[in-house]
Amino acid sequence: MLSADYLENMIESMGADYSVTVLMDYTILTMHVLEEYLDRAIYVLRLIVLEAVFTERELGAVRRTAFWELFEQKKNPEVLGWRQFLRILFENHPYQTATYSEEVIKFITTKDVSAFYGRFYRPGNAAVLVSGNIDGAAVAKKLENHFNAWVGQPVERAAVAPPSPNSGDRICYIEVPDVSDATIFAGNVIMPASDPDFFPFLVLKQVLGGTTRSRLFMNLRESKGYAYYAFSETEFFRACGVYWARARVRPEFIVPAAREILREIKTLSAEAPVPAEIEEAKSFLIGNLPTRLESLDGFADWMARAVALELDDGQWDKGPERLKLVNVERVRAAAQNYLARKPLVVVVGRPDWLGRFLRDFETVEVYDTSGTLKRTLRKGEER
Amino acid sequence: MASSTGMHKATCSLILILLTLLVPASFPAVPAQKTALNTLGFEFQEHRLRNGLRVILSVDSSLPLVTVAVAYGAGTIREQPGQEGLAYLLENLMFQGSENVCPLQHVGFVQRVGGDLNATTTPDRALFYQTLPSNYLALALWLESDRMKSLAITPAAIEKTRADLLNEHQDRLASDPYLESFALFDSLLFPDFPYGHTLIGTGLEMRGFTEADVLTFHRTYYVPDNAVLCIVGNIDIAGTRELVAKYFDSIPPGMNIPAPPRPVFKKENDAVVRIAGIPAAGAGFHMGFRFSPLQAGDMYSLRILEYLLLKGETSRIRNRLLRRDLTARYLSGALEERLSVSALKIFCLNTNAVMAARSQKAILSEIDKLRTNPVSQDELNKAKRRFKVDYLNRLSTRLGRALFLVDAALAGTGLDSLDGELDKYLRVSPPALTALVNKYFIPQNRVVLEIGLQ
Repeated sequence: MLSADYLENMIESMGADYSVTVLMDYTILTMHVLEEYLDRAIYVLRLIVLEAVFTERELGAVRRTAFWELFEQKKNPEVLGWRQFLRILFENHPYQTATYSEEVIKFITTKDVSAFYGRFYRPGNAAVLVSGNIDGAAVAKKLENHFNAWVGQPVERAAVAPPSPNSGDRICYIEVPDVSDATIFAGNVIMPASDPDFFPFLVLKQVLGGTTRSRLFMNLRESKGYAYYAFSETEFFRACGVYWARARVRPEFIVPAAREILREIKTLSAEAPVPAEIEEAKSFLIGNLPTRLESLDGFADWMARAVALELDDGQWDKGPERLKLVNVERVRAAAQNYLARKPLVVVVGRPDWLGRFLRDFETVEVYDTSGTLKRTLRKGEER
Repeated sequence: MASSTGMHKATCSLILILLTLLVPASFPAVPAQKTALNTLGFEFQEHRLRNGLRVILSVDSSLPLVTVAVAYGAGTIREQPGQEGLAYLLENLMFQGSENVCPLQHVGFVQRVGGDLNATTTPDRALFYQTLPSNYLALALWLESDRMKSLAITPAAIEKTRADLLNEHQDRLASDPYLESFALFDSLLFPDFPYGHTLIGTGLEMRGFTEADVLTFHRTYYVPDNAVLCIVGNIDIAGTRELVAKYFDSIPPGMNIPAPPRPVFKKENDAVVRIAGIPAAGAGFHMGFRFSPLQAGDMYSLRILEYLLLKGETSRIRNRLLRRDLTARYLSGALEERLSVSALKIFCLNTNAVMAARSQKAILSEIDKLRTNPVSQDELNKAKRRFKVDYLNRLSTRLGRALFLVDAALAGTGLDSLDGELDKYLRVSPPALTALVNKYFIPQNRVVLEIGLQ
């Protein structure tokens, strides 16, 4: 049996970087290694994936690390807000498990881990990507030699239905004692990356808050002075995607800033951007794409996500062409499809700001840093 | 993707042809260029304009991108007492407009075409860079030249930028309980004003800056003969040289640029300073070793030693504190390489003061072992492999290469020395490490700053 320490020593002896990314639908194991160690890296990867053993001692070590990470995350308003945003958006949906708490970690056993491994770590549910200064045919042969012993059993992977988008007014407040500014998230569930609205929506996201020239930044920071920054982002899973606006604002401006964010989103849903704004957004997205693929890490991450999300080849190599085809009509349709519903709002701030700065909200759900609902405040009530 | 690349190249060629036609026939002769054929995996050329601007060009046509970086010898070591924060203020004022560019328009122009940009100020330099589609090279050069020669330094711009920076600093102080300890640690490790003061000072100094202070700093240090321009990407060398000359050659050189101050550190026994009352759970400490002057060639050994001690989970100090003894809950450490001084800095957080004390002893014990017991070739090779991965990784992007070249140019050691540089790191031997530790890791070079309740 090979211990975690043994594997770690093997990886470090190559001078390699090794990382694991776990998302809702997939896990990516990445090893960055000197080309002269490629054979050994493939061998170590095979050991990790095919010969995994889970001991109580090692699970204990992972548990301690997970507790420490969760403890640290509770000091970071960005992470707190993001996790709560997903936790509420994916309420009663399988994706909610990604926002686990200490309680979940505490009760996971080696049996649970082994069962998960046995169910999902199978060849029909995996892909190996190698990029760099390589001979593709030779590497393919090596991969075959190492991985052909992997027993190909069918994988039971239930199709996950997309969650219902948020549709009503909902303001959630996470109380954190030591922050100097408030952090606001506002967004909703959208289509998966394989949807025809994907590229028009990227353009919308860009117009809303892609850069410092976009609407949110110009309005909340440059014009009103509410925010230190205000941007918009997207993330995609197999069943759906999410978009969100994210702003760090002065506490006295939490309500007007949140209202401006909602107003900007509503405006985009009702009124398509003018062609010049759309063309500028497309220009950014097309021009910026190569910078994301420039490094080996960036390229590998992009490819791994495309494979994991089961996107068609066109999504990968025809992105610029598909972006060029986005026009006002397609942007308008995507906005009507996905921006018309009322976004979920999550605010991270100090407990005392509730009474001082949030009195104008009709209803505010108040959560602790673990995501547990503590109370619901209504307008006019003592806070 | 392939057709898109082709389109970019076609556009690029068209623009360069048109711009070439606009270059005056009386274009001055440039000084003889150097061409470096090297072991780095990429080539570069350098030349100087008549005004002293050092220009480095490197071709990489694998993607339709170009990075344009401009570094000025205008870091915080140029500040006098009472001027703390002036270099940082200037860095930010560089985005507040120039003769032909409105405030923040530089950012807008670059982002509009999909580019990324940023700037930093360190003790030694102020650095500005952008990576954008290569058919917009002329745009980037125009923007950089405009703010080099005609920055709009107005009382309103100074006031707005100063207020933003001070607010951001207050925010950072409020959100990071250890931030002040890092500043204090630097002042202890580098006990000499130019080298030991922080990027922004106390904030009081910045409030007192006048328009004249800012203008004087800009006119003195933001001049072509105190700068390096580096362009890496999908460029045509001849056309790029013409573009550079067109935009930068008419900018007048500076007058009487002072030489950077040399550090004069007080030699004392190792200092241990305790700070109590930082509102953080547990305890922790900073530990640092200062190396000044460092003899030529010792940097190679020092860098490999950094990897042996601190890089990777199985490196000696990380393994000891985080895996074996379990006395630390957080540990970071790195070699800080400045132009005139370097330092190995370690930051450690512990659950209580006892654990902090044990961690300190363990670090010193790991260093002591190296004084008499030569490191094995296997362990040394592991550190070198990890170093090599990081070294090559840094050079894998246009921006990484541009910053690498700019740093080497500012270091004043000559770009020729980059050829075979990696091999010099990889040739470091066990006896060299032993000698290095015995020579530099002495109490007089060590500073410890303890934090948390004692």
